[in-house]
Amino acid sequence: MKCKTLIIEDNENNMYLITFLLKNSGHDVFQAYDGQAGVELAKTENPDLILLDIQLPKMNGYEVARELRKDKSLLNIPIVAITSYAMPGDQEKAIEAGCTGYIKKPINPDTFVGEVESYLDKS
Amino acid sequence: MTNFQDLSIKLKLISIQLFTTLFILVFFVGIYLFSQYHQYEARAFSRMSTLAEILGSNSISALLFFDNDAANDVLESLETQEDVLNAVVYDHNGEVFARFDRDSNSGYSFEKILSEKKMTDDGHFILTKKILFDDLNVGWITLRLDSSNRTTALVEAVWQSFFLFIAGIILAGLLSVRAQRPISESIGKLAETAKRIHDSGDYSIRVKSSSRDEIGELVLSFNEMLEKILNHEQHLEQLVAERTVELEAAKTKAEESDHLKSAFLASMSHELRTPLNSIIGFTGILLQGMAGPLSPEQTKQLGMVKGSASHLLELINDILDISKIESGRIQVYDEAFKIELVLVMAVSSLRPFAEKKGLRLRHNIKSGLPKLHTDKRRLEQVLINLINNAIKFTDEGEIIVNCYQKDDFLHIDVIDTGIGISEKELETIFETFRQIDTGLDRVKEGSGLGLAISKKLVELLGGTISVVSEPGAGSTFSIVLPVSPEEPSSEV
Repeated sequence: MKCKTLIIEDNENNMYLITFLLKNSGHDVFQAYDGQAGVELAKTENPDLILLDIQLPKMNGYEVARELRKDKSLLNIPIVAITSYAMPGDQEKAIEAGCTGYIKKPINPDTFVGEVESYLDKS
Repeated sequence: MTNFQDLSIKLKLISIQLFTTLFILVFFVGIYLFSQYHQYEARAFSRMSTLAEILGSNSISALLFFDNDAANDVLESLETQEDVLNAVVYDHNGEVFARFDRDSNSGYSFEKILSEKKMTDDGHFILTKKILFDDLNVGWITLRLDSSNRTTALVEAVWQSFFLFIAGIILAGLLSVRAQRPISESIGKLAETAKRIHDSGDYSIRVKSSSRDEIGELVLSFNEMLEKILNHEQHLEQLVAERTVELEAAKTKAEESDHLKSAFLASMSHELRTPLNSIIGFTGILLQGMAGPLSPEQTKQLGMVKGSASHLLELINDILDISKIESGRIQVYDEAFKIELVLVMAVSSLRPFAEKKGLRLRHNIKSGLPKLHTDKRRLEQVLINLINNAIKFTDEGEIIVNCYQKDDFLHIDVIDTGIGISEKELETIFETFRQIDTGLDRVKEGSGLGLAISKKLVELLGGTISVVSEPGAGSTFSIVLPVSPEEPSSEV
């Protein structure tokens, strides 16, 4: 099952890592290095899934999620937060902002793709 | 009857004055009555003496001429003196010459007396006097006076004194009521004010001083004392207020720094995880051969990188855990679950690691244990930590996990046959960043936070954790958790 995934992530290493893992499993990947670009790309490409880093420059992940949820055509796209925040309440905040789910950093390369794909099945 | 000591000052003063007056009155009335009694007798004799003198001189010619009738006539003049009962005139030989008896039936028989005499007989006064004519004793005269008037006079005097006495007491009472007022009132006012201050705690109340005597001094001292207390209190209040402000500032500062600490930890955790994300991620990719085949040596070295990265992640997680617990930001869930399942899961998940070291890991769970009401995930974390430690520090033998109920408590013991813990290390083993000294290189890697986290978590769940150990023989870590009594092991 090949799908279009939008990755919004400012850290180049992480972007490369996630892109590598997804492409390796045969998925198409679009990259955005900040929130603004992410929102625009989501509107033009209409991806099947959005992977969203929370700590982003200018516009943080929560704001990006809220912005994305404002667009009715994007309403059904699952947004998965990639969060390294481990303080209580961070995950709840992500869900509140409109995320479908979250994957904790550091990601486990053995299981990451499987986790991502599980969100595709849900939508 | 009330004790004199318990009477009010007012009553005390009044009664003291009344009793003093009473005593003085009784004393003087006694003296008055006594003197009245005696004066009556003296007056009676003096009157009798005058009468005897007059009658005697009137009888001289009768005596000289032996004229009894004339003498009797003289005595008859006593008719007007109602209290004179009898009178006798004797001649110079002492023979009765003339006689007067008020009541003819009561003829009093006089003794023959030849000397001047005053006497009392049967309560009546008797007086005998010489009758002299130019210094010549021509005869004697004796008078007997009724003394019954004396009692009447005394009774009259007693009555008079009694009325005077009552009047005196009333007057004294009125006077003492008025006289004691300045004293009792100022003392009363002082006492009442002291009570009012005691009841209200208002030290600004003052007593008005009206006199310059000891009570006035007392009032002044009392007021000065109040002033001192008031000053002291105000000083204390000010001190407390100052301290409160200081404490509040310190509290705010502490809260701020606590907040900063949490924020710092959150961001540090993120910053540390971001590079770790890459390390763990790419190591995984390489090890999986996704980026091309690896030589056995490369696989071994990458395995070491992966192990170190995992250890580093464990450290970060532990530090985050302990800081969350210490700042009270950890969430504890309350759910009912069967302890058997948690124990079996923990033991089975760790059994491969034990077997890799050639150790036996088994559990011994008593049947019929009640359900636990606590945070399952946290308890699991503690159990895995304890069993992991046991595996880490045991090179041969076995590890047993015992679970049983005793009274209202559930006991879980993790027993190993490992290197044990020395007495000195036992004291600090549950403190943060403590690790037992294995005497070797740091093969037994860990954050040194595992037991500190376990202790804090068990306490958070309302339980206790303890350890007994003998170096070289092994250690036993025991967890004791309360079991809610209303939940019997009914559900299966």
